[in-house]
Amino acid sequence: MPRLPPHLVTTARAQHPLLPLLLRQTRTLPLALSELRWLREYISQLPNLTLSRQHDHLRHLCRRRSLGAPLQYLLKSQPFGDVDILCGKGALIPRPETEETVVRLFSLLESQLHKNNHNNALLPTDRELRVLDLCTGPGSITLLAASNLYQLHLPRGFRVLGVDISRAALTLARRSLKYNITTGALPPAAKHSISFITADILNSNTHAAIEENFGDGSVDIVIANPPYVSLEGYWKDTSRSVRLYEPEMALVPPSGRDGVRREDVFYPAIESLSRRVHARAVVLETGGDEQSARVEQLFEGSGWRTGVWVDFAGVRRNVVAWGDDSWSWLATSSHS
Amino acid sequence: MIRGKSLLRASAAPSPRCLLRAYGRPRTPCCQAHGYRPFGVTASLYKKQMPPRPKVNEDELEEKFLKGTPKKPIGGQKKLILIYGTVNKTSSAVQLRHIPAGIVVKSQETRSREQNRKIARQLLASKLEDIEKGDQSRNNVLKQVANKKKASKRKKSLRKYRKLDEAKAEAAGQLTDGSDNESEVAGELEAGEESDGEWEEEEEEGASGSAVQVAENGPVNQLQDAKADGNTPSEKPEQR
Repeated sequence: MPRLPPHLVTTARAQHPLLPLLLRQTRTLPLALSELRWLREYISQLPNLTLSRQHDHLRHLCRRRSLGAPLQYLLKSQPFGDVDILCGKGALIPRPETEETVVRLFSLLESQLHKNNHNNALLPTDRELRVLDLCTGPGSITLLAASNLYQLHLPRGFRVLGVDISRAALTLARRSLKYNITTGALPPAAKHSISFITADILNSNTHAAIEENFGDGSVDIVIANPPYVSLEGYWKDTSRSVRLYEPEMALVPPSGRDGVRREDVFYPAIESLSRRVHARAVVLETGGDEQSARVEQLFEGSGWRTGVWVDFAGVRRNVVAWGDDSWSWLATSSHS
Repeated sequence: MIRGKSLLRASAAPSPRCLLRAYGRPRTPCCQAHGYRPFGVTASLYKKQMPPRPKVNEDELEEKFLKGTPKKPIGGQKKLILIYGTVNKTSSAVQLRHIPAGIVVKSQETRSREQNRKIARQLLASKLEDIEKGDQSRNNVLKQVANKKKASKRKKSLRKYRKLDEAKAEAAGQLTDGSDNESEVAGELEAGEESDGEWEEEEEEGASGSAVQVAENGPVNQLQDAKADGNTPSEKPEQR
């Protein structure tokens, strides 16, 4: 990392004595100013702090930030679409790419429902719409999906199930659910339409666990943001802050198996699970162009029709797959 | 009027002042005179409508999500931003460009990208409207309202201090000295009344403008008039 130019540190210090600390991580002055503003906003809304205590706390947080602690851990949450996801040790901080994926999926679904005036083959007729979020982590996709689905006012309602192997992450996810109900981002009824279960997707017990929650075990939409960073990629590309603070488990799959690359291990498992639950649409996040191509090939090989979404940075980020033609609108890539 | 009349029937012993107000021109609702305030969740009807928030046409926009530091691939190294999760950026900045007008706005207000997108759109829309409509744009109208409120506040304080001065002068028996001052303030007040107009909002009794004059000496005058004429509203309190 290039050294910070001394004049930058001087200008920063002139604006606020704590700014140089933040500059160590942000590297640019505007971002450092924004982070300082967010930290101050967070501290000012903490209860029972005298002014001098507030200042001490601000200095403490800036020190921790300068050592690489993620801002989201210090502020204890990250806005994710309309909901706030609580952040803490043991769960990956939700990233904007995922946010974009979920927002895009449900805005597409909404426009489809409007186009066909709610009476089409998209929605199941005999039960609620079911969404399965595999590798949910801190529950970010699950909660945002639910908040988006509430806005659709589906006649038969919906249910979202988040699955993850990490108990720590799911504890955080359940807390996030309660937190969003208290802030009003989700209605109180969300308690009944959202659930989280602990299961290992790479083992076969997942389907039984899903059946326990979803009567006949069938699901409409599967969304997954599995760990997909290779081991080399983890050591070479990840920033120090990510390696120090965020769980490796959420980024790197456990191990490669029979001819499948380590970073791709989750995709075949997700594909076979999606087939077992009769999913009508699958939305996956991948590490980028090459991995997207491999995942697309995998799904096409199993008889799915596929498409790819490009994210805001111009990366082929998502692979979408669907079984019957009523979901072919998923391939629309008209997003700006 | 209707509210005043219905209250007249409902309450057992309304004060004469309140009754008169019900038949006269009630500046404040009767309930306020009785010591409680009306409570409702609907927006008050008398409030003048502000111009609507401007909107931008999505087709004319070019949106960019700024990353904290642009990561240049050095010496064959893979682009860092390509691999998700490998960096945890806190920048949620959104930059919008209006293609026909060539205006660029940027928002890094909140940590939520979605929120910033909305904020940037609002910013851009109000900028465009400022250019298009000039004084009639929402921004400028809001500014005008704020200025009016400020002016009305100033009038209130002037009136208050004039009264205080008068009281002082009276107490000291120096009415003649204060007369100069008084006329000056009064002149300013009248000038303010004329400018009070379109965007004036509902205010407390005796707040501002022409209505104040009625409120200040209205009830007393009306009471006297009513007594002299001997018409219905004044008789009712007398019957008690």
